[in-house]
Amino acid sequence: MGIYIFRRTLYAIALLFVISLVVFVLFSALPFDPASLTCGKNCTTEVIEANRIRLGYDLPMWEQYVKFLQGIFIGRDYGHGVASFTCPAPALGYSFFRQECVTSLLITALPPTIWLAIGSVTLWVGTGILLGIWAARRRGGAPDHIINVLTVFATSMPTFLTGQMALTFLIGKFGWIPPPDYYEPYQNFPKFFSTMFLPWIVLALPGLAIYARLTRGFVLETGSEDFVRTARAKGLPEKTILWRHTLRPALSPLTTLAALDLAFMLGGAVVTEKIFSIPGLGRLTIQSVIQYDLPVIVGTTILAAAFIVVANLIVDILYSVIDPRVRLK
Amino acid sequence: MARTKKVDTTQAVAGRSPWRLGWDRFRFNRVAMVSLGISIFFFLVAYLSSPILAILNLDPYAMDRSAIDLDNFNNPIGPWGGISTVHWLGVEPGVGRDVFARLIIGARTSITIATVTSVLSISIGMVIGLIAGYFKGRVDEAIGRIIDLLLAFPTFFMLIAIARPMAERLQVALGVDDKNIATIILLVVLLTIFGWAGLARLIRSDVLSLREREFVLAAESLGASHGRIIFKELLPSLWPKAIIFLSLSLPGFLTTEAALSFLGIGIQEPMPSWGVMLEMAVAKAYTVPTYFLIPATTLIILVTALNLVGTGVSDAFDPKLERNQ
Repeated sequence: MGIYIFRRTLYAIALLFVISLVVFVLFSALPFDPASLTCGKNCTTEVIEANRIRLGYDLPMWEQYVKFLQGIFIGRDYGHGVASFTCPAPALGYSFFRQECVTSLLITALPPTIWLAIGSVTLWVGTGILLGIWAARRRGGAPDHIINVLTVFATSMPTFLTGQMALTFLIGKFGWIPPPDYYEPYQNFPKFFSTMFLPWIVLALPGLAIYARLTRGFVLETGSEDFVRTARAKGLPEKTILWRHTLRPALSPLTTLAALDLAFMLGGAVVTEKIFSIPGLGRLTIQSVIQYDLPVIVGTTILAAAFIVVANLIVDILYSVIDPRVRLK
Repeated sequence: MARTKKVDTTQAVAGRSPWRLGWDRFRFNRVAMVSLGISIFFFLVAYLSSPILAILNLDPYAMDRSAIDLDNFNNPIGPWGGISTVHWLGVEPGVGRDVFARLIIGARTSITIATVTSVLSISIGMVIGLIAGYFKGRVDEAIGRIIDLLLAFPTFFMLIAIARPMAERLQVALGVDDKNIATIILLVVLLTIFGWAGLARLIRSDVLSLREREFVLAAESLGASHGRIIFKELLPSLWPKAIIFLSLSLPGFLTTEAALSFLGIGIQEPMPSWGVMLEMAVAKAYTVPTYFLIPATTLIILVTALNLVGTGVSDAFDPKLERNQ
């Protein structure tokens, strides 16, 4: 068991290294000179060259990568003397465009993304499971049909369309919901809740449909198993049968899925954040892409990949703990 | 519950191929058939868009100044975004280009990207999955690592981050004037690079069990080459999976293209695509709602239809599903 966790963790770390290398090489191969992007139109060659040396773009690519890795573990200093600056560990680079270390940009952008992700994942997993159970209990009845139609539409509606439509018509035309804005939850919770409500729903819709469909399948499948019949035969109330027996085997696949979905969301819900102007990781990425702010793009991409790798690791380890059938060497 | 059918012994028992079996099941799924009809209609209109526009004498790039009100923020004249006998779906606010013409020419761009990407990802996914499952051992391990790596990448995120700068480099490398051509090629390539891994993993696990079956052993003992076993023995039984994957990935790629162009990262003005039209319409969605709603509805209808076809196909072709036939 311990050896398995150890090996799995090592593999995850190796994977992260490879991802960081790929991302780094990919962006270094892009057709611009990062140094000349550091200052505006009236810029002299001397300034560009000075910035190139200061930011380390004069080094060969492998050396740049080594410096980049070093930065993650021990922080990084740029330049010497008066014009120097330091990014403390874990340093992912320096955005000349914003005059800020990438790590601190990421840290500022993380909370809105986390709130968005947690809210919508909770909403879609919770509602999805309840809808799925409802549909399975009334199999072939009206709820089942309603949910079928709903899932088809929810999976077919791209988030950018639902989001934009909600924004234009619910907020713009009818003014039912306050216009998009972002508030810290511990400063102004009612405002936070009312502005996040719509993004949560928009982001949750497609996922909700998938969970409803999956849960319905699980409940119907285990519902015909012998142990459920036994439970019913010994006179357990339906509620106990459903929650303690029928849903128990569905627990581990659903947890896995939810954990991975959460990890994807934490990387930044680009579309939703852009539409609802939420200052999270997704919007940071989009802005950096438009401004060709390469260090920030590298940082956000690696962070997003890290969330996925770590979630996969946690899920694999949890799996071997939760599910007694999975006993790994 | 299996009903016993009376077998008519006077007729020769004709073997039915998996294709035939699947199609027969699919044919009786009314929802799927209607959706298939709608999808085919969209594809036809998209690919016949040039002759259609020639007949109607419309041009997606022509600006009709008479259709917009210069005193009213250049909004279209008339209700419903300027819908008239000349402009069937109205005109664009601001420049007065015909929405119908842009919609069907844009459909061609969007549908082409989605189709080519799907076909490429499936071909690559199948070949690599076959190789991994067939040769096992080190080959399988190496491919498995690459798949792990690709699946850990936040795909959509990567696309956003690299599509725009890469398109510029590709444009220079190809020496084309229109940046959109470079963008289209790049979108197809990038979506394919990230798209094949999922299918390859599925195919690999199928091949692992298939290759231990008797017919493969028989072929092996008759001295068949690797190529023959892979392409003649194994490949035919994997087609249903590929078809299911195709029908589900097509709407997926369609929305991805639209979303990327919508974010201003995919195709750019003046070339029309559904994503570009939606991006343009956002600013005017409040004053001229039809301009936004027309491409939005079209996209939703096609994606829904394709999804329903996909569900129908996987119901019909999935060999594991129990049926009451």
